[in-house]
Amino acid sequence: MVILLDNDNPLLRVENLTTYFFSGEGTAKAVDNVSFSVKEGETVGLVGESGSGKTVTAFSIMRLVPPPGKIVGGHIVLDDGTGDLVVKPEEEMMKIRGAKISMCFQDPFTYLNPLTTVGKQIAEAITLHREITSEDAKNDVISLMKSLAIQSPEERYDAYPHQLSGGMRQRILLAMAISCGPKLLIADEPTTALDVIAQDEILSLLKEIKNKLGVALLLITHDLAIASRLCDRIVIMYAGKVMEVGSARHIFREPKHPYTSALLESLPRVRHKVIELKTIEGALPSVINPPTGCRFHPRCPFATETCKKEIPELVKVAEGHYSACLRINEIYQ
Amino acid sequence: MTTLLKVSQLTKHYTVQKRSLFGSSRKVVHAADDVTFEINEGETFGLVGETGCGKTTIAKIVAGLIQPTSGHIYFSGDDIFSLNKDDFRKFRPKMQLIFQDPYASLNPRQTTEDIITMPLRANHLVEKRDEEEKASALLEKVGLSPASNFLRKYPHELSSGQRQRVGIARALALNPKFIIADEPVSALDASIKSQILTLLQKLKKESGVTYFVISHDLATIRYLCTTVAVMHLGKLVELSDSEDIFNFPEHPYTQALLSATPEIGDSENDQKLRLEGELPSPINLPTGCRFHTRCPFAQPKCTSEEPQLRQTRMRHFVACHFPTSERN
Repeated sequence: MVILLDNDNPLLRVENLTTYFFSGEGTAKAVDNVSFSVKEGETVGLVGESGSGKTVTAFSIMRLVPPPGKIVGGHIVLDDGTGDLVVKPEEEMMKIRGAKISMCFQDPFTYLNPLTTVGKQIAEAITLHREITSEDAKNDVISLMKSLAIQSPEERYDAYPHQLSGGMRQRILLAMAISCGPKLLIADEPTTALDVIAQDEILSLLKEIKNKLGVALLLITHDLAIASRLCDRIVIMYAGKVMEVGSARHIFREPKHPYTSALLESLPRVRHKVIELKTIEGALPSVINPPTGCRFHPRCPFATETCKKEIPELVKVAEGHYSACLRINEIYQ
Repeated sequence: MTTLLKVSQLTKHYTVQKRSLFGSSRKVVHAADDVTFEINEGETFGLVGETGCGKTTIAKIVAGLIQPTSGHIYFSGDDIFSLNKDDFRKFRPKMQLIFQDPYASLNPRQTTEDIITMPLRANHLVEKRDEEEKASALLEKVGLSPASNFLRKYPHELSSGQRQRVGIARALALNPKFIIADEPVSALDASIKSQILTLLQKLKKESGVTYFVISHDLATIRYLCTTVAVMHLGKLVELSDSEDIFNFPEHPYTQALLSATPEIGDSENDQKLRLEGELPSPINLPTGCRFHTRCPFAQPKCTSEEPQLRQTRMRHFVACHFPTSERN
C-alpha cells in the first residue's frame, strides 16, 4: 500500500522503500517498507536508535548504499521532474547528488580529505557541477564560508582539516553540501561528534541556512531533543520500520505509538528533575532475525498474540498524524 | 555527613614536545589546575564539562591511575598517593570504576563469569568452587537474569546494555564504598540508557554506595546527582547542590551550557546565552578568568585577575567576579 501521508507539494516522496543487506549471516532487513515525504522548505526528522534504519534510508535516497546492501523495492521520487531515483543510472545520479540533493555526514573528519585544504575541497564541489573559472569558484567559496559564520574565511580557505575544530569542520562540510544550491539537504547526525555549545551553534546555523536558502532538510538523529529543536515533522523509526509520523507537536505532546510514548518517558530531562524514569525493557532487536508481526512487540507492554502475528500498517489518527500500532484504539482512547 | 573523598589543590600538567624543522619546543597542557572539592558518603557527585576540560583527568587521578603534578587525594582521610604498597592494595577494592564503552573495557577473550570474578580472584577473596555462585549473584543483582544464560557468554555475544551491566557487576564484585562512573551511559541508545540509569539508582539505594559521575550530558547529571561541579578548561567554575545549579546557575559558563542543551518542548523564543568565539586551547590559556574571551559579561577585571572559587550563598560556590546574583 502506498501511503502519501496527505502532504501537498511533496518535494521528496519515499514510497515503500526496502533496502536489504545480504551478508553471510543472513539478510539484514535494514529498511523495510518505509514511506514518508518531505515538502519543499520543510524540516523532517528521521529519528531512531541504532539499527532503526534511519541512516540506511538516507544512504538509499542518495543511492549510496554500500555493498552488500541493495535497494530491493520501492520508489524515491524527487518531484521537480527528476523522477524516481531508484531506477536512475549512476551517471545521472552523479549529476543529481550535490546539485539537487546533498548530504552532510556525521563525522566530518572522516569525510574530509586530510591532504587537501578545506577551501579547495569546497571549490571542487562547485566546479564539478558548474562551468566556472577557478578564481570565481574561490570567491564563491569564500562568500559561502562567510555566510556560515566562519571567521577570517580567506585564511581558513588554506587550512587543512586537522587545523580546524570539530564545529568548524562541520561548517566546511555544510558549505560543501549547500554549495550548489540543492533543494534537499540530508544531515546525518550533524552534531553527534560535538560538544553542546558547538552543537547549539551548528543547529542554529542549519536553521538559518534553511530559512535563507529555502532548502528542505531531512535531519537524521537519535536525539529527540535535537529533532524537537529543528523539525516541523518527525518520522519515528524502529528496527527498519516506521512506527509513527506526525508534526513535532503531535509526536511530542500526543504520541500515538507505545514505542514513542515509552521513549519520551524514558529520557532524563535537563529543564526539570525527573524523579523516576520509565524504562523500556529488553534489548534492540536484530534486523537479520526481526521479531514477527510488530517489530516492537517483544518490548511493548501492550502486546497481545495478534501483535506477534500481524504486521501493523500506518493508520491515520489525526490530520497528518499516522501510527503503526494494531491496538491503537484500545491504548489511546 | 562524613567526607569520603577529598580532592585538594589538584593540579595536572602534561608536557608536550612539538618538533619542527627548527628544533623542538616544550609546551605545557593545563589539564587540571588547583581543583579542590569534597565528596560526602552516600552522595552522587557529578562533574560536568566539555571535551578537554579535564574531567577525565580528575577521574583518573582520583582512581589513583595517574599521578598528579601537585595536590592530594584523601580517601577516608588517607592520602592515596602516600600509601605504601600493602595499604594501597587494601584501599583499591574500596574504589571501583565503570567505563564509557563496555566493549573496550571488557576482555573479549574472557567469559562473563571470568570478567566478573577477576577482581575477587586478584584479591584472593574467592575459592575456585564458589566462583560461579558469586558471579551468578552479581549478575542477578545487575538484572542479568537468569544468570546461567550469561555466565558462559563472551562480550561479543551480549548487547550493549548487557555489556554495560557486566561492567557494573564487575565494579560491584568487591562491594566498593565508592564507584567512579566515567560517562556511564553516553555510548548507549535511548531505550537502553534509561535501563542503566535506573539500575545505578537502584544499586545505590540497596548498598548506599557513593558515586562520582563524570559526564558531558547535563540531563544524565541532573537525573543521577545530588551535588554538581562544573569544570571549564581545567578549573572548577561552579559547585553546589544539583537542583540549585540547574535552577539558579551563577556562572555564565554554566548558564551557557544549560541554554545550549536542547530539550523537547523548548520554544524558539527562550532566552539564550550565546558565546562568542572558540574554546581557547589548554596550552595557551587566556589571562585572568579563563572564560573571559567568550563571556558576554566580561569586564576589564576579568582579563587580568583570575577569580577564585568563593561562596555566594548556602552551599553554592562560584569562580566568577560577576556571578548572576551580583550582576545588575
